[in-house]
Amino acid sequence: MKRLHLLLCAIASIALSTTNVTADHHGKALNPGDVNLQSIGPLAFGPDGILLVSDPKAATIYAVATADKKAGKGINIKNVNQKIAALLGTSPDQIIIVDMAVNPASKNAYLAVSRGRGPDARSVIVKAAAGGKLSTVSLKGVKMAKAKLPDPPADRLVRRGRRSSNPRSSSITDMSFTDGRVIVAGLANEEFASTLRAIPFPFKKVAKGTTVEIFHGAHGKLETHSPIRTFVPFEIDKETRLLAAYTCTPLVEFPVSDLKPAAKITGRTIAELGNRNRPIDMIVYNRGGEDYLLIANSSRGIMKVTTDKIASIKGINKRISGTAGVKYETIKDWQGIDQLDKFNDKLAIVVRRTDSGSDLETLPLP
Amino acid sequence: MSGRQQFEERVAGLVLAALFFAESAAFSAPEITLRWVDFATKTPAVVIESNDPDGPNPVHVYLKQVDHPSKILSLRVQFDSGADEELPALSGKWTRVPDGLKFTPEFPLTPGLKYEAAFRSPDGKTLLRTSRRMPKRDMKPRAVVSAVYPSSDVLPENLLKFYLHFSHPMSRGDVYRHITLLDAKEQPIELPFLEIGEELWDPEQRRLTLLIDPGRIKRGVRPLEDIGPAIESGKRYTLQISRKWNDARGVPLKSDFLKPFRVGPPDRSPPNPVHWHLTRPEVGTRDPLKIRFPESLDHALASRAIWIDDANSKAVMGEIRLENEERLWSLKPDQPWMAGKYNLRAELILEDLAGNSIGRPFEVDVFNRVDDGIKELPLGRSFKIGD
Repeated sequence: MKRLHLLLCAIASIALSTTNVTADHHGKALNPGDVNLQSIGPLAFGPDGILLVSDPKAATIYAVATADKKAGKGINIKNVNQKIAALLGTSPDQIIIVDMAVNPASKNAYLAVSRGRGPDARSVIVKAAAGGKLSTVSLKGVKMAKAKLPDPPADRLVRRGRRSSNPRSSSITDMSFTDGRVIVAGLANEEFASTLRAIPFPFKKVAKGTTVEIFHGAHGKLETHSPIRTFVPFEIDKETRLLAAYTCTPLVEFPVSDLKPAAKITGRTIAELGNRNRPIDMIVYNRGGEDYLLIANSSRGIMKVTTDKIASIKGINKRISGTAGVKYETIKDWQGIDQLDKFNDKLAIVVRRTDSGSDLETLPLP
Repeated sequence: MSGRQQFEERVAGLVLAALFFAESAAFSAPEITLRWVDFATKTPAVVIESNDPDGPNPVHVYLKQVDHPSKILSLRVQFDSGADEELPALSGKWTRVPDGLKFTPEFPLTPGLKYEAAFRSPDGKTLLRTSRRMPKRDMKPRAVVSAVYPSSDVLPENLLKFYLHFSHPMSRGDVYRHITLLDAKEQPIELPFLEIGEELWDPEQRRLTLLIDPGRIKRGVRPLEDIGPAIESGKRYTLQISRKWNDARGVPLKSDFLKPFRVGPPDRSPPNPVHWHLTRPEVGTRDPLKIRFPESLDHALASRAIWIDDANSKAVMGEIRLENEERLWSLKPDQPWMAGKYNLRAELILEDLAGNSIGRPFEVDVFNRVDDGIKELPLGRSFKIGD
């Protein structure tokens, strides 16, 4: 009997630990619950290691306490897609790494992963820790909160032809936390227009999005339709601004305080970074007292943008050819970057495409 | 002989036995069994157990010596291509069962893949292992491209998007690889589409929205500076969808799909409901109410953003069809039409093929801004059925 008792103790102590609750003030905004993801989009980190997870299908943003605060070192994982496939018990071709965010509190990388490619794919968050250990992040019985984005226009008639369904859906292209607000950029699959929403955290009711209009110098047009691909908060003259990169690739600046419900604002186009290109991720880092912006692109490599002129440069408001605006250099040896996030002011974590799949790497910032 | 020595001898014997039976699906040794539970179901598991009434239970003895049960019982996927290093074990949970330990993976096993369960000693020696392959799925192609909209074979030069409809749910993640726009000489046009990482699918993954790159749409009379427009008036093109595109099961399409089309002049005027022609049905029938548009409208938006309100501002429920190259909208009501006032309504988001929405052209020139014109939302036009 004693032996059995000891054994039970042993089992109890080695059972998988669930996520602990946070004891900080932001933790009070979160309550125990389950996060059931219908889909997974961009990730971001809020204060105190709170992970923000977007679920485009459910049009919902979740905040989840990770209690992951112990600072780790850089992470390098070869063939990370194959290893995630093994962890999730499937083949590498069934793994899509949707996004990656580094927890500023622990320096662990969190990956938004789709297990499967069909409509029944499972959405999983995988944590990559120092030493290369991969694990799934439990979303059951965690401290969490959620914000539902306003519903899309309701269908008045439920049947089209013989089928009844609602084929309309929205994508979330990027998400970021700044000044107590979660900022979400989105794109719908029917109306070609992009929206930007600022949601106060702790979550309250989500207001109508803001329409952001930009002048696209390469097209010589004012546009409201272009999707915002990626954005990053950036402080100019003690005011938080968003630097947003669009497809084809205007870089636009506007104050976060302008993001008011149902407002229409015009951003200041501070650069045109070239055609036939899709910006993927952006980070800001400080080197020798200067801030730099690093932009990962689909076809124009990695751009290192100096920011000292951003405050003073005149917005582009006429047609240009090629590139214009703030200066940048292209970092030649960073090839095939699919995901980029800041580790600290010296290092970045990237997911890089290789011949055999993809690697998670910690790279010194240029 | 001490209990510890006895135990180590037993395990040594098991290792030998395991060598003989390593490939068997469910191996049973005299004292320890490693077996699959509900292998091909949604909740598979592996169990390591010993029910030898004499002496200590080796599974329990080992459990006490490790900091985590994954050290002695694990399940790994075995890729047919092999791997350069040991891959992580499957994520899942370990639970104690009366005579041993059970591992349940977090996710169901994948059809066609081989899995290996292993029982190891605390010092890492594999004592027992068993592997099984999940039955393969039906790999017969069945999905086809069921429709492409706009369905017309003449499209405006400033066309904004295509909708690709499929008969079955499709797989996502690399769709642009399978879509090509060919010119009249069957040469591919370079990057004509806006490649969006999120891929604009409907929730069932049976419809993909394919946007033409706005930087490749010819605007006004000025030429594009360093790249030409994707499509040009007067020329012929073919939208080609490769059969290599996998459905949600991972099985390719039944066949390639081709949509040849000719390009006409650009369309820069917004749709105007004043010019729509309404055909009113007879009272007491369930005949469709028909609206004819002078131009083709966006298939998805015309299916959703047009409706009929009755006199009480309640939408008339029924079956909507779009036909005649998206120039004919019809509503067959669920209940027979009653005499009275009705209202044809449309949301301002309704677009034509070039993205001009009601009251607002797609292309807004900064130097010559037009006012949005129609302010009412949503737009209404009243009519009567019956006397």
